[in-house]
Amino acid sequence: MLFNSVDFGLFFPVVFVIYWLLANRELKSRNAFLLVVSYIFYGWWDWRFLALIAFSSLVDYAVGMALYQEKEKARRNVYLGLSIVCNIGLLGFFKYYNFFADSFVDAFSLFGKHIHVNTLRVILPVGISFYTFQTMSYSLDIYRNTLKPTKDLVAFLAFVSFFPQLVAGPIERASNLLPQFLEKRNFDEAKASEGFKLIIWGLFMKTAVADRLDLYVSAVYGNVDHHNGVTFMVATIFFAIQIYCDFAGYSLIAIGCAKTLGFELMTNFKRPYFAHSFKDFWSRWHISLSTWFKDYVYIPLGGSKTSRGRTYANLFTTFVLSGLWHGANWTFIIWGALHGLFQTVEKALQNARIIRVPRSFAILLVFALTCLAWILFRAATVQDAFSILNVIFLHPGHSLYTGDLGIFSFSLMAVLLLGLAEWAAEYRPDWTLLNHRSYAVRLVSTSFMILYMIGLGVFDGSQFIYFQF
Amino acid sequence: MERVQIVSLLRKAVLYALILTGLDQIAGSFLDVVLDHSPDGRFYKAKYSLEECDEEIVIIGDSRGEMDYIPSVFIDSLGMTCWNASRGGQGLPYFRIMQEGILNRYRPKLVLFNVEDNMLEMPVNYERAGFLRPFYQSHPEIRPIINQVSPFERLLMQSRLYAFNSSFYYLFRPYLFHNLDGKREDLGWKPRPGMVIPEEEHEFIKETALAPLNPQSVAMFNEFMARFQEAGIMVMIVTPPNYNVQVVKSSTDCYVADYCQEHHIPLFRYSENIPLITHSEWYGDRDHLNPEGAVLFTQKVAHRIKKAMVENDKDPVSVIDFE
Repeated sequence: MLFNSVDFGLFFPVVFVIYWLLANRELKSRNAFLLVVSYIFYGWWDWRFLALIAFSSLVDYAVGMALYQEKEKARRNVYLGLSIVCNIGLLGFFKYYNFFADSFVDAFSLFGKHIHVNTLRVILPVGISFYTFQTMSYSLDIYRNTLKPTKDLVAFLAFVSFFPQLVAGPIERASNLLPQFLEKRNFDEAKASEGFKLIIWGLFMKTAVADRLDLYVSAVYGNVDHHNGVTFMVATIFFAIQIYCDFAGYSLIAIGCAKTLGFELMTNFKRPYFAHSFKDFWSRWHISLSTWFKDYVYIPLGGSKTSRGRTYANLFTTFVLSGLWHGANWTFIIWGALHGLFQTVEKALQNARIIRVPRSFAILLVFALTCLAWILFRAATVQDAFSILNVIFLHPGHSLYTGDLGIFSFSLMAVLLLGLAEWAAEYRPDWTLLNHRSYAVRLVSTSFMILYMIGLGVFDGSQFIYFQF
Repeated sequence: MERVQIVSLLRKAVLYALILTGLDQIAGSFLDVVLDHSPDGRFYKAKYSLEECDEEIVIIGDSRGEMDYIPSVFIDSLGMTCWNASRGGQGLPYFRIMQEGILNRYRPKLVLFNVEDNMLEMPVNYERAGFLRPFYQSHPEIRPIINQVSPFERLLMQSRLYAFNSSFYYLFRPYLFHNLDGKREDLGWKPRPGMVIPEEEHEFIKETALAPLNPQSVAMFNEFMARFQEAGIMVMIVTPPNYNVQVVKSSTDCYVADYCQEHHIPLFRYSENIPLITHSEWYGDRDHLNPEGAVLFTQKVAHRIKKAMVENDKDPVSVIDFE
């Protein structure tokens, strides 16, 4: 069930009303209700995949209990290993098996050896990368003695499958979300209103900006051989904004839905294109994933508390793995490697205290390099990505393909509106219209946004980009 | 206490929804007025096609249909009234909507159908016909086709503002810039001025590839043809020329040729007419004839129509016309 679908438009109000009005006010029955509706939400795609999420949840529930009771390190390692093997095994089987099999065959063919490896015909279960990471973090935190396990199986299952953030995050930590399932939740009208505003803003980002820009981006990236460098530059900038609005929009809807139900999810995006360094960028972009990799990969590798060379290697490795997490394709791995490289170079320059640049120039530079990396992310193949880079740098041309002028001009308008809103949120928070102190301003701006969506939103039932991960 | 708060919130939500519905109605009514008074442009043409046209000949097609056929030439050559209901960038869903709108009111004597050489290989794109949403409420006959634009269309169409979704640019443009889609007196024809420059990039291409047919497109084409036949309307099909592209054989061509033969429908194939497709001075761009080319082409088509109507000559290949 997509957030931008009529199905969800009917599902969520019904859930909201039953949850607060009809469900027994006891915590257990509300959690049970959330578990049932979350499984319905997930099963809407394919009910067979419910077994996977149930399996992943039960494994970590049992591992968490066992880890807590076990004091012997060797056994604790075995239990943790079980959680990691099960979760990474699920991911590996559904997401990466074919990629590694094909890469293996390609590697051999480079040396003139042609081998045959059977590939699988399986569908990637929606959100598997998100919920496996969420459940794994539960076991990892208990292993590190930073979290106590819960005995309440229903609460735990509801925590793993909590529908607002189940399929595309934010990837919640058990230490933040799980306790909220164990505490009584009371209805708060102000919080609910705030949640609905986040939902509206998230829908605006998705339907009026991301999906609008996609019309132009897809037209350009879908015909790699037919466009010049200028057109690809514009399409790539549009894609940078599209993917941000697509994913941040999803996160806002998720956070908003959770808020209306009395939950606080972590912030996932903080205006990333105002970042003045790559370190800053990754503290603003997909925060739940970048902190996950920081806590469970970068720091265990040694983090920055080691030699400089090793620190750079740790950083680079973490970003390559982050790229692989995004998708089983070399384009994502190179995208991750590029970000690893940017961060490493940035850290080296900072350590050497070589250059200092004005903040506005730094923001532009980070944005430009981020866009460069997005080319890898958006292109269908590495070959396509390099063709595009070749065209941008060697054959920029001077004419811009605009396609349908209506689509192009409304894309520009969407970018402008978003830019103004982001600028205000970054530098003049008191100017943000949706949270303005005046009730009239809030009402008018919310109404404008809804009417803008109706008039200029794209409602073609398109998926969120991060669903494929 | 909690229940009171929730009921209060729901009450506010309902009130707010009512206010939004009111605003939606006001905005929709205003846009309806803007559309009704369109001086020219695509909305004027769509409204005329669906609600007013009563010409004896109706031309249906995409941008080539819109730019290559001049109604006034047909009027002079055949002595029959003519309206060009074609629209650039459109495909079978638009053609079906035009068909339903026209058949709902009257029966033209002849429909000239412009068929692209790859029309039946391409998937059906309903979204492009979405610009006809403003006619959804007033034309029940077109609703089943518009409903296919998106899975939520039926529900979204309850909003009057949504009917104009993404259409504002083309809705307001005729008020600022006149005749960009052709003058009213051109009767639906949109001239494509200019002349293609014969450069290296326009080297001669001979298209013989046989891509697979798209079953959905084929089904829609069959439905389109069958509806006219059921209504007893004569249909003639023309495959238009492209500069320096000779379509010798495409899956669409083969299918359409077989269909025409089976149903005794005249087919005029200009997509492989060497003399026509190699004259750069007749083209505004690679895909469209300029006014000079359009006049010549329309005269030739008119001649073929006359032969087909008077002499009952339904020879499907008209390559001799431009030799």
